[in-house]
Amino acid sequence: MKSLFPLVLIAVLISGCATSHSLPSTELRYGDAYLPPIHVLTDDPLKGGEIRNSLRATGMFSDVISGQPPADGYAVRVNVAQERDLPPFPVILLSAATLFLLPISDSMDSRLGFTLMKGGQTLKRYDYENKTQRYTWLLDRKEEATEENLRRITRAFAQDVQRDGLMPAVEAKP
Amino acid sequence: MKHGFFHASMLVLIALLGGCTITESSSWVSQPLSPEQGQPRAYLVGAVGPDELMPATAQNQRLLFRQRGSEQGAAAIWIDNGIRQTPKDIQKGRASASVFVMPLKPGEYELYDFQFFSISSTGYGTYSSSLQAREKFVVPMRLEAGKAYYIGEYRSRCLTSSACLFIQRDRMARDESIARARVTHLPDLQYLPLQLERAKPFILPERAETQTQTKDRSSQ
Repeated sequence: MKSLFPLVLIAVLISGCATSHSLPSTELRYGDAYLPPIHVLTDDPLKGGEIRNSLRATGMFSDVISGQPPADGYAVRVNVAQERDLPPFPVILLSAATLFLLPISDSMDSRLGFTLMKGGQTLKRYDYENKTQRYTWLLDRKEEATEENLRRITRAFAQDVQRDGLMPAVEAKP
Repeated sequence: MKHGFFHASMLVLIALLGGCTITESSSWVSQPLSPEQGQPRAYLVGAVGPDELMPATAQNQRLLFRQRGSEQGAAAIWIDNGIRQTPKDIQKGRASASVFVMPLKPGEYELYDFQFFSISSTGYGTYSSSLQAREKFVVPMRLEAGKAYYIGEYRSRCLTSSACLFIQRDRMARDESIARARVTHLPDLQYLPLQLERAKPFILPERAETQTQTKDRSSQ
């Protein structure tokens, strides 16, 4: 039992401290107003809700809506490519044999392309990549790393759109 | 004698458990959003709980708020699970609601989600279920220091077990005295009209204004 304790401690330390993202976090600065509502369509319907929620959480857009925009509205088409890289199957089996106390590497490479459009005309395309490298084990909170992986991309997009000034700000607060 | 002692102990235990419901606060504010003593603060006031008509049976119902662009949050809470409960400030028939008074650091906030949690027991086991918006919403609000904002009462209804919503009404005259009894130095309440059309179909004002915006936001 005593010999198991250092192993568990190492597992906790490795899985808790070793998450790294290739895309740095973005500090957003807000004006008095929000950017106009955007209608967001993705080429991966399963990821659509997750991406829209992440865009809503940036606090930059006055609304993030699913579906086609009205004629004078802003549309954002999102191309999603995500790859997950796990170790070879025997290593996963070895971890399973230890009831997942043995951490295994788990990386996720997300590439998102945002095409900003208005009235059917493309205003600009923004491309981002974030590679998240981490270790996963039994008591791991994988969702946090997955959310952060996407959060860094959507916040970078929000900052770039704001900086480019392609969308005039609108008063959205009561 | 031993048998009688056992029964007496059980009766005492049941009486204790029956009488000892734990009353909890109807608001929760994360530490970074809580103003410290002497710091400027704004108050967000309202009420939350099941409605009289088709009430949601979930024992734990919440409205979720967050600071704009931040992960820091706050919640308005109604709980009644037999052991823990929030104050039943408003009660009519089987329906009850709790008035919340939420002290917050001044700034920009958003109402963005709701949650229903319930635990039910059957002959086969105990099940827990939760319900919240699959696609969140953005209802912005700006809170200034030294002001208290009333955002209405939010009463839950369930059309089916998985289709629940809140009906929003203005009951400021009723809720102000309850809120003031809780926080004696509360500034004068002012009604804060929110853009609740953005929270459709999860929050519906009682007198819903017609909007032509299309949204695809289903709950899970």
